[in-house]
Amino acid sequence: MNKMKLAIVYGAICGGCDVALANWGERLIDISNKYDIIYWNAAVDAKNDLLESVREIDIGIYMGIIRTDYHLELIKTLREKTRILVAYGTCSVYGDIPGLSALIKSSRLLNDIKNTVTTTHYSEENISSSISLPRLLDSVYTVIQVVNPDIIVPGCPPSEESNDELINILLKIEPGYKPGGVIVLGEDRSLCYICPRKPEDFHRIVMPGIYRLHEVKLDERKCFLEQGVICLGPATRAACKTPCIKNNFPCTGCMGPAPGVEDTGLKLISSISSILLVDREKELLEKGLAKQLDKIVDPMGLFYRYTLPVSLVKKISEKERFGK
Amino acid sequence: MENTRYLIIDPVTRVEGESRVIAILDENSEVSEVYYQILTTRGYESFCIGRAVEDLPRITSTVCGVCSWAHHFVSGKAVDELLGRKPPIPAYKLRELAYYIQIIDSHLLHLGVMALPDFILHDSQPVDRNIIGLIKKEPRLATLLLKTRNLVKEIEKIIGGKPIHASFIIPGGVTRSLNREDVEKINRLLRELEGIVSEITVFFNEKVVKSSVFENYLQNDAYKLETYYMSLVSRDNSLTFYDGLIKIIDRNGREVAVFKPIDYSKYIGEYMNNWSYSKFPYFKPNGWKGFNEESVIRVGPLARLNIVDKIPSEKAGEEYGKILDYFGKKPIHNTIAYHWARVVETIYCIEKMLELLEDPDIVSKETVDLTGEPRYEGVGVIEAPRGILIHHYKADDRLIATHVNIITPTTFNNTAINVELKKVVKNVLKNREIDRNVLNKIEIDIRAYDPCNSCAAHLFNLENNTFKILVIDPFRKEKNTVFIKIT
Amino acid sequence: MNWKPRIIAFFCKWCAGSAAELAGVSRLEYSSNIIPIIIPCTGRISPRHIVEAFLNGADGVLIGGCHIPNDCHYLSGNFKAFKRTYLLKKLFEQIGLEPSRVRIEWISATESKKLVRVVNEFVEEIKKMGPLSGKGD
Repeated sequence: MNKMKLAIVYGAICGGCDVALANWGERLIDISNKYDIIYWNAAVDAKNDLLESVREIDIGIYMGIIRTDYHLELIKTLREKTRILVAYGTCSVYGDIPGLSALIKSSRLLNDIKNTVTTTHYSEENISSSISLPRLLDSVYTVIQVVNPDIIVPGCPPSEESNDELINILLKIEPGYKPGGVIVLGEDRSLCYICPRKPEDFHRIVMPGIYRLHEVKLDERKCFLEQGVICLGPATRAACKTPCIKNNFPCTGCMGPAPGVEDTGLKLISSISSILLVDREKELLEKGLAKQLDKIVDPMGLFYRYTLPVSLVKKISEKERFGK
Repeated sequence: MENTRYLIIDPVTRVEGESRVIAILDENSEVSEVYYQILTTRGYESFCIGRAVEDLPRITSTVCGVCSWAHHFVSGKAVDELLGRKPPIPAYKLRELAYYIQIIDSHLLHLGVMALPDFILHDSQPVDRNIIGLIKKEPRLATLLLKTRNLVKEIEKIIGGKPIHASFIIPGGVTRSLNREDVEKINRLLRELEGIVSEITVFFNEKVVKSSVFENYLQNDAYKLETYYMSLVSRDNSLTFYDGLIKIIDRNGREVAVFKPIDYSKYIGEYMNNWSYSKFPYFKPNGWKGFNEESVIRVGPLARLNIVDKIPSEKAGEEYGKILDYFGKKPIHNTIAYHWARVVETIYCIEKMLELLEDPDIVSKETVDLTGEPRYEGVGVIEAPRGILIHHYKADDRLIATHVNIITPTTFNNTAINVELKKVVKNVLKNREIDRNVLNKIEIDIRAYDPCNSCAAHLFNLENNTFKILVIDPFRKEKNTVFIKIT
Repeated sequence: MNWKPRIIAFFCKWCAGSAAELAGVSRLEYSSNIIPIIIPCTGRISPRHIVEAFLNGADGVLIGGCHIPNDCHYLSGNFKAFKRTYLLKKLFEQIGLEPSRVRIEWISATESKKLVRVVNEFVEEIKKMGPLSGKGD
């Protein structure tokens, strides 16, 4: 029997998801017994004419953010030819850290590059149009904004558990199978439910203030919120076994929004306001509370680190800038 | 222009990230130009501005997922300097210990997935020239290589929480200490890894170094570039990854500069153009001499072995000796030797890591020092697996980043790759029919550098009036351009 | 330009909402550009409501609640509203939206004149800022 075809295709990547796949280790042998890995830039020698000529792909794994016109064409072509499309990694689903460029105008980007301390000169060489580079889109996009994937695997990169789950699915799939809806790998609840740290009193969590990461020694047992350190657990999907928390670092939200959260930042602004200094509000009044809130010097980078392209605030920003 | 032909390798495979090679052949089929292009970028220099500095180690870790620890750690160093902090000694040692696994991980990944297929499966069909093909041809070796993925991953989980994009470095120290149980586990895993790497080294020495394929590449002058080299060195001029001074030597091995990280911009300049999303660093005191050997500084395993006087560990020192015996003198300019250097470094890092695990400071609870007067500017330099990596930050009085400059090792080697490829393409195409195996010989040169194209990708916008950009349909269906079709 | 500003006003029923009623009964005139929405407490407003208002065509959002520290019928809802609005405005600065398109005021049930003043002031401010969509409607 012919093996099914599996293709791994990129947007703008960091390589972490490639390593996550390579870390399937010996299970790659099981995968290769069932699938022909027909395209994988990092590991296999197929060139892009193969993507053009192939007519049907059984499994297409897309990773990375959609940054250039080439990436956009690629995801559309992949969706057309692929029976089961997997959006692998938070970049492809929600945008991840490169998503932070979603609101940056092109003119500013050029300026920042030209103005680095070491850049000495720039020239426009006289080159043929045939070697001109793929063009950057006006903003960055994710797979879910452009096509409908069949399987979504959030994570930066996806956790060990998600990877095991994906391998199991791939090994079970029969030719012709198409899932009835979108499969999301990860639990249907927020990280707090599975966090090894528990607050003193679930019904009255109090943030004693706001401390930036460099201002306090992080306690290895206490809930971060109760230490005054912002943790994105409340709005993040439980799609891992909290390795960061166990390593004494607050959750930064890399698994994407928990179910029911349409905009991570707005949710967190609300949650943090609900618990910040609730035992001292009347003592501190607006001024005192504002002083603590001012410690959040970068709400966008903190709350939207992984989800800016798919957020609601991005949409109102566009209205303001481009009149959309 | 009528009979100009374009030879395109798109994408360059078995490297990390997106890149392509375009060679322009004139009417006499002579190679007139070769371009190695980085095809995308993400814009860290732009969107890191406005970020709280303490978040930068976690954010910049994602510049690269293969060397994420390199970025994570060097970012921590830059932030430390910016905040005027010094990690306490146990935390410093923990960082040093942890960092070795990054080198081991990256080198073994490259060796197994990207490099070895070229030498062991040199004349196979392209569809077999990969880790899956390796499983068929050398099952024991391939299984060992895949097994190293598990071992490396487990060690990284203990130290960093996650193997990729770890949560470990905080300003002034590390997130937590190791306990006895952790140390024992890491020890066990490392010893197993050491055994496997030993076996892989034997294989490498017997079946790769001694093979005629490898030998031919090492002796081929096209795969050779007489350049400057740059690396970190310790006080006694020996191999170091986490910390040290930066040293640059010329093509004859003479020291031309030794400096602290903060002074890097005196010695490094970057040229920018419109056909790659990556810039072209060069040795500033010499000025930019265009795309030729004069301008090139190379970094990475070969540069490190060229610059240091010794490799202070038993087995690695021995292997280093073998390389020196083979070539007779330093600096070694043969690019394919990069692979050999990687094997030596892997052995070294395992030995050093095992040594450091014995240090009682590793389990100390002194993990962070919060004191320090902010200086609002910091430069961190580290030896990433692929070479020198620099992060330079400036911040305002709210400790928000105002300027971010990142120069990655693959960016440093970008000039070298472009210069060398021209020689390689000419050499490879001479008197040969063009087919995929022939094209692979071009890619073999690129792979020696173990380029990390995601690292090299900076943000650059090509929209402006004087240069018209064609929106290229990805499958390049353009009229009036003749592309060489390879079947 | 034919554009007229559209402002959503969230008024809590105990304080600002009652002040609006009183203004009406007293025949005090205030701008018709606001669309009052009476809610139980400003503490009920989520940042998402404010953003949705903008997404659906509002050019400004006004929040009227009970005086801090002691007037909130549910004790501390107004504190929550303050914090949420404060953080949201910080975010707006970063994403390039004028933070002053959102305004929060404490207006007790008897302060109908204050309500009128605040509303009229805010409408003028939004007129000066122009429509959220960037170009005329």
